[in-house]
Amino acid sequence: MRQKLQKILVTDSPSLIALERVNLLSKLKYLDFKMVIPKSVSLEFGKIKQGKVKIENLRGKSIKKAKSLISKGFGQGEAECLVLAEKLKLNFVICDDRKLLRQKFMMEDKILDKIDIAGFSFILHLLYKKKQIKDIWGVFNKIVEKNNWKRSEVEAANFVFLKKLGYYSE
Amino acid sequence: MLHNMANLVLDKETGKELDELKKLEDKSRSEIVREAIRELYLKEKRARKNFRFFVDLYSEGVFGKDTLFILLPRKDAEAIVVGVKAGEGAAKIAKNLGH
Repeated sequence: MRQKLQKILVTDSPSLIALERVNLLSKLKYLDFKMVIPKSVSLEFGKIKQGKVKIENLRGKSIKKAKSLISKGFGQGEAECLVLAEKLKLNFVICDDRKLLRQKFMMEDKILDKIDIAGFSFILHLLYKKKQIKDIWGVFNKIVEKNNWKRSEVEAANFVFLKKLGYYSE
Repeated sequence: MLHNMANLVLDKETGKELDELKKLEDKSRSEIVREAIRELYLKEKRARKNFRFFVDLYSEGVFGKDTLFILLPRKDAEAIVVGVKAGEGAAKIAKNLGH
């Protein structure tokens, strides 16, 4: 059964940086999704001029939850993204952090169990559907190259994602 | 065209090995360094190309984890196992969302 369409994407800084490196940040305005990032991610990334990106401050219990994740070895940006996604009742975040992918695979954690991780290719897929990019594999290769993600969990995850959605590579 | 890149810094042991190789192979030090770089370069190129091929085979169930760890360096095999699981999960989400 299809889930109700979620219109929010919680995004971590590595994915934003990846999109910026191939000049795709300005295309986010064409997506049907609104991007929400926690404060720590906006600090890691720097100024974001795109109107579609909303910065959300964590408060009260959410801060406690994020701190608890950080104490378990999660990065601050990743921890805040997970907590923010949970708060917004989303079942995934956009994140291309190798450490988080490994933690998701190996660790048992309440929040981590509930929330899946999608990578930059999720956004490439949305942009392709909106006809904002033509050569999806070309952009994919550029991102992998520019971010030094060759032969990493990030390359494997995003590659499988595109293949499973029916994009055939050369 | 030859690039003259002088001053190669080696530790004592590597220096010894290079000198020994020079005698064993009857080649100049430069030749040996060139060949070693070439070999490393090709190895890296092959590994990069093979990586996606193995990701494909593993995600299609052509072979399992054990085979992957026999055939590839540990770092690559781990990256594939972790990455494929995440990628498949993300693809399911995208499909559920109607994309």
